[in-house]
Amino acid sequence: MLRALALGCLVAALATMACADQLVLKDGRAFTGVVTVRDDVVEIQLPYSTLHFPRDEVSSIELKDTPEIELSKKLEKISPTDVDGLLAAAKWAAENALGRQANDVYAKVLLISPDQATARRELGYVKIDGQWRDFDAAVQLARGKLEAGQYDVLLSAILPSLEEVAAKRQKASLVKELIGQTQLRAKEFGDAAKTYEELAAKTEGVTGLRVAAIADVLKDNPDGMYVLTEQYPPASPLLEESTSSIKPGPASLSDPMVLEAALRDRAKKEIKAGRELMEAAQQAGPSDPDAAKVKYFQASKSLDRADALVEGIAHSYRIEIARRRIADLRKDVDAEANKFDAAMAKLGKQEVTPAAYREMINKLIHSIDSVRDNLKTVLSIAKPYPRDLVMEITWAQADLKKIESMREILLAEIDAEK
Amino acid sequence: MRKNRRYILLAVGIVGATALAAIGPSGPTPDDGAALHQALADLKKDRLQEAENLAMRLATEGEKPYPRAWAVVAAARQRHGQYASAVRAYRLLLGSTNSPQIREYVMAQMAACEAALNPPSAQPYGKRLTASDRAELAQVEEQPYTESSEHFVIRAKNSRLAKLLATESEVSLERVCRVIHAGEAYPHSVEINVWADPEEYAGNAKDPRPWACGSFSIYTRDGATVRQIDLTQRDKAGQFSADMLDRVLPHEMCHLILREHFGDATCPLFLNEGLAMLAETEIDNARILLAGTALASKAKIPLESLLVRQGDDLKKPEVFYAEAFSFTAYLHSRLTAEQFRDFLDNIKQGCTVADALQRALYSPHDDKFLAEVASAWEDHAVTQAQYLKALRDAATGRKTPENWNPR
Repeated sequence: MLRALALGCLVAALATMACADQLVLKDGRAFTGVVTVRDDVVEIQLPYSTLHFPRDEVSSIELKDTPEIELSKKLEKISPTDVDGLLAAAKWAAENALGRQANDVYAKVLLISPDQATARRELGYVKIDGQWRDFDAAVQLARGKLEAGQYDVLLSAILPSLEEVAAKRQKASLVKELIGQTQLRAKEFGDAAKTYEELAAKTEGVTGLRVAAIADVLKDNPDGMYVLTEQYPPASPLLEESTSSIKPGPASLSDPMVLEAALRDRAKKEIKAGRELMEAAQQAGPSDPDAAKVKYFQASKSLDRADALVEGIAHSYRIEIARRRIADLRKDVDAEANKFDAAMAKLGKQEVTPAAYREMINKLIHSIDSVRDNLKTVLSIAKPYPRDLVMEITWAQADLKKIESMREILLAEIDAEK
Repeated sequence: MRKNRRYILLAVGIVGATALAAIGPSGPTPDDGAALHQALADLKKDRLQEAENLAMRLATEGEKPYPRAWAVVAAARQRHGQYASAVRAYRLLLGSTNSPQIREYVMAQMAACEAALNPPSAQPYGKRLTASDRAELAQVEEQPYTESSEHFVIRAKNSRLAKLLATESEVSLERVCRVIHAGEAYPHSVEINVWADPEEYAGNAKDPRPWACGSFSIYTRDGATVRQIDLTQRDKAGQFSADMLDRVLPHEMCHLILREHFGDATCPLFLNEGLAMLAETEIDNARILLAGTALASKAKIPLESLLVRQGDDLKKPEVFYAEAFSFTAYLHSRLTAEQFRDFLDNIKQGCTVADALQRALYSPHDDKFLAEVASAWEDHAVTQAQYLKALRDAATGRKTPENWNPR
């Protein structure tokens, strides 16, 4: 009874939708929505807006049922306990861009038959160990099984099901990487290499850089053996004696720490490249500030790639770049401030016309604005590192305050002249 | 004959390995792949013999021997302390790889094996001198003698001492460069003047220090840079100063090289003194004992203070020097030569010690890093002191309390 009532409500909700009329204009453009004709104007209500056209521009109006109406008509004809019928209706709804309504129908199916596999799968459930779990719980469980070394069941059953569900939820990359990790741990290096290559081709940003690097590591070491040149984790020699660290030498990429070490080696190369660019920037700085700026930008890109592989590995270099750029800006600020002081010293010492005086004040304001811009740039450069660049920030803020008050005085002087 | 046979085997191995390197990136067969990973698992768990046997079979037997397995053979042998045979395996690996990273790794491991096979002389030269040697070296002759070596020009009023210093200075330089420059050659020449006694030293040395019997200086003479070390031949009692050979010479040499290495940049005092003490031929156990005891007591200078102490704010100089030595030695023993050189370069560029270390290690930034290093170093220093005390007590027949801990 309850099920029948629920289905009835769903049908009623769908029935309130308007018709899907098709409006074709004389210039060939066509729109689908709810058409209303008012005097000489034809109005069409689209999902997110309403358009109006003069009647003489309209070629034809065709009145049609919307998919929602069609679905409600279908549902009216289906018995509330007809699982196959409901599944067919849900499938039709999904194929006609009625994803939400399709899910509602699948949910009704589960009320009738809680173990119905198609409805479960379509709603994002995955069966693991005989129980249906939603996507997030299934991913969590799959990770647990990965840690527990249950690679066979993951690769043969769980991950393929998860992959199917993930594709519909825009989480394909997440599951693909889980597949890659499992293949690596299961020592299926060839398959893992393919998985990561596919993933790298589809993924962008930080994750894209990381998976591309993993694909690269596997391409260079198809046997899954990686030779560590240093102990890993890198800080372990200096910290507490750790039994979990890996000694330099050959090791299996099936061990996640070895893969981390391989990524860290690649990050190291990026940092070395970044350092070289920073040195080049420093050398170019005095004679060619623009070239230096470009080099620093390129260095930052190298550091970005390093950080994508090992989070936080480039931190101190980023601060160094920020410090150097701030130091360069400070030089400009100091030079401008000296010019300003010299101009200020001249004020009032020579007799000038009111126009010339205003001109001098305007020049001073211009000079102050230039300094203000530089100080604001300093603050924006230092903003991501408030703890490390506390002095730079404090000085810039104090100078900015002084400059603002000086600017106000000069502006007041101009106003007084008027 | 035995040596020849070894070379024949080596040549066969290299030819075989090189030919098989053409297998390239396709990897081993599935069975061999499984065996390789079993060998790697054995290696990880220190089942070195099993790892070596499995990898050896892969590298040499079957229809398609797999030369990359030499990496496992070599590592297993090296970890087992079989350095000579490890070097042979590394050579075979070297012949079969084009990877710059693996080649770099192999060269470093071969050097480590060679170093383990040829450890430096354990006994400082001064300790090897007989009473008659000392008497002869204490003699001050009328005429100054000049001797020279690749990097040094030595002036002393004792011909034997001048000759001895020409040799020992090169030995010291090699050790200092090993500590500071990761073994890179020193490109300059240094003048060494040996003054007869503390009085003559104080009156003639370029930059004499009242509390010391040796010093270094860098100055300009006739437009050329002069690097000079002043030493004292005899102590206040008129005896030959063996410390001059084993301690003062390498100590001052280290200061001189550091001064040049850092140029206009500042080398923190703890590092400057720690490295100079580390360069000395013999480790001073008293420093280790004092550092461990101080760190376990109220006398402790916390690491954060140690790193920024300057010469004029040393309230407890002996503790400072002991801790500076202990911490520098700890870093030097835990970092690779390349990492230590990077660390020094980073300090030179103005990094804090924490940043310099994290950069040298290519380790992600961690705010707690220095505190964690301090804790690990303190534990290490205290344990070292405990160990030394136990040894000293055993030697003197005193009983160490069962759970003695200077903390």
